[in-house]
Amino acid sequence: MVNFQIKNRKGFSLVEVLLASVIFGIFVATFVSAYLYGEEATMLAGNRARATFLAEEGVEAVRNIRDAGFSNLTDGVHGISTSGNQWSFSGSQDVNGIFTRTVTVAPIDSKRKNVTVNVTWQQNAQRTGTVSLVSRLTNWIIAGIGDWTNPTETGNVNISGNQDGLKIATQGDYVYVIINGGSPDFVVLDISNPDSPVQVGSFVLNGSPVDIEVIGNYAYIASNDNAEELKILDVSNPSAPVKVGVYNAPGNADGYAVDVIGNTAYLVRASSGDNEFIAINVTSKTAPVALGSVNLGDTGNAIRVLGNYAYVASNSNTQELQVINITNPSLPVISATYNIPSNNNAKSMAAFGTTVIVGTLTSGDVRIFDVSTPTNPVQAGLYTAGGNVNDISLGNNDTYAFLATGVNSAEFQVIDISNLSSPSLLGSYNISGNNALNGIAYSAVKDRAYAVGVSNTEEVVVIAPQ
Amino acid sequence: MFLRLRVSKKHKRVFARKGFTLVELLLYVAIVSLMVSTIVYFSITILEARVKNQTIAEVEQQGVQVMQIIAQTVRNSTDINAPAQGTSAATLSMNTYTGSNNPTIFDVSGGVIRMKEGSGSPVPLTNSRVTVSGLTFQNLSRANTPGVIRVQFTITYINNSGRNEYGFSQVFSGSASLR
Repeated sequence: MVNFQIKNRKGFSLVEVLLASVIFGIFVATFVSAYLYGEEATMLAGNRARATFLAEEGVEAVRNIRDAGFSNLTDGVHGISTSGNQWSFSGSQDVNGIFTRTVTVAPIDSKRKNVTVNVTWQQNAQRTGTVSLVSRLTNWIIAGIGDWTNPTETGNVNISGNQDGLKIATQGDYVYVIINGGSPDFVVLDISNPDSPVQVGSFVLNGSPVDIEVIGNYAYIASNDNAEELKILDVSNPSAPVKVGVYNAPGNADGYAVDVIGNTAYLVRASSGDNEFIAINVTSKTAPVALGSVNLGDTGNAIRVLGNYAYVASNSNTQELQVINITNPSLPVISATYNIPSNNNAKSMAAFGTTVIVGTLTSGDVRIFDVSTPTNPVQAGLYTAGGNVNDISLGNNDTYAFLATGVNSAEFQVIDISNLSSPSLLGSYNISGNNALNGIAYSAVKDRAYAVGVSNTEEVVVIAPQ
Repeated sequence: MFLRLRVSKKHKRVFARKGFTLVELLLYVAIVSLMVSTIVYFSITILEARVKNQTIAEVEQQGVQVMQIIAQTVRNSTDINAPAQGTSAATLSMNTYTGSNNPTIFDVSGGVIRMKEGSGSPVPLTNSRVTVSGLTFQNLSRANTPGVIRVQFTITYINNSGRNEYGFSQVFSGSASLR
């Protein structure tokens, strides 16, 4: 008997076909979903990259806000906005498309802040994406200031002639000096080497200059010249300053002080029948135009503008500090006055934030006023220099005041005004001989105080910290 | 129609050797066509997904690369020539620490972002697969600061055929501060 076996050779059953299809389907679905998930992953990676850019933008924006002033970094959780065409804090978060950004500023110590930028977004229905960048910003300007408790003279300049140096201004690598009746009487010094100023340019002005302010490419000079109480010099080329415009104030009263804010110059003058305070539109440097004026009743020696108010240091015995509302520059109005006890003339002034500092002659009062309410200045603190306070310059984020005085044993004084109610002497320097200082300008970039005075051999002195 | 084969008495097993009926043939054709069409459909989906993936990656990577080049150049600059503080423009001009690279200019021409250093000729930063629009540089600096520039642009994959897998567009924005 032939015993052979025939194997089962039937075709695929429908069930087997279905089974094969399902298995095949699972494979295909795997691959398709792998690609689709890949596509989604690419999208998610892109979103993450953009979220990182937004977070970076936050850090960079805060850095610029810091660059404008360390005190701008207020602690807390902020959003940032570009309102007013500059980066600023706004609200508690900001939304860019699908991304929400928060900037958290936290203090580390007085000179450092921690900045954390968080960007969150909805990746898909289930998941939230987060990018967090942390940066640490330092107040390097304040960190760069030296020890002013023992200042010394590190350089000086003897300008030709024996005329007295009156006032000084500094900007970048240059200082600008005005001299009483000298020839030249306007001098530009290069302070690339801070301790060795080099004269690079000069100009001979009509009449004698009294006060100077330098902003950008222009120097604004108050003068006793009867036809040019305000002069505007183009100093864009420091080696060849050139007079581009003048303003002839009514009458012959000497221009005594000038402060320039934006396109408006505020001039105060010696007492006369004409108005002592004049607001001048200097949009056109070649043709300044008066906007408005007001009679102060006495000589204005110094002027500073904060917001909508101008503060004038006056010779008046009953209102040494005058506050003028300049909300409408064409119609200035005296809105408050302050009577400093004693009849010493208010001679010099400095101002920042909501604080005005007035220096007087003779007793040398340095009076610090809180002008949070401009119409009601309140004296916050008093320091007595012991002699004429001829000029005041601020430094170290407005916590130091540098004084140019007539005190023979300490013509140069630095006072610490970080606590406005208790200003105290930090350091002083005795200029050789009894040569009073008339003007002073502190250069934060050089950490030097540049002073001018009556000395015939060193009209300009450089004073440095140790 | 079928053959019965007796193999062994011991093994009473019966084997069938059948052919195809018309119904079976139709069923077979139906199943095969279903599977083939499914395969083709999924294949196309896979190909489209791959192309779309490539499109997205192209746009994203070029955007990231251009943004990083611009941000890095801004950070290494000394000052901004244009746009002026508080304004915006389609062209950015800066000075760098390398004199021969001054000015370094970024602009867009014919849908391509270009970088021009000093007197050199403009170098394209994006390739011909994408087109750039809406390039804006905003100078958001505060007064008396080194400066900060905000950059924004849109990169779109060039899609002449109008097919979905080549269509992708993305807006990029970022800021960089001068040091």
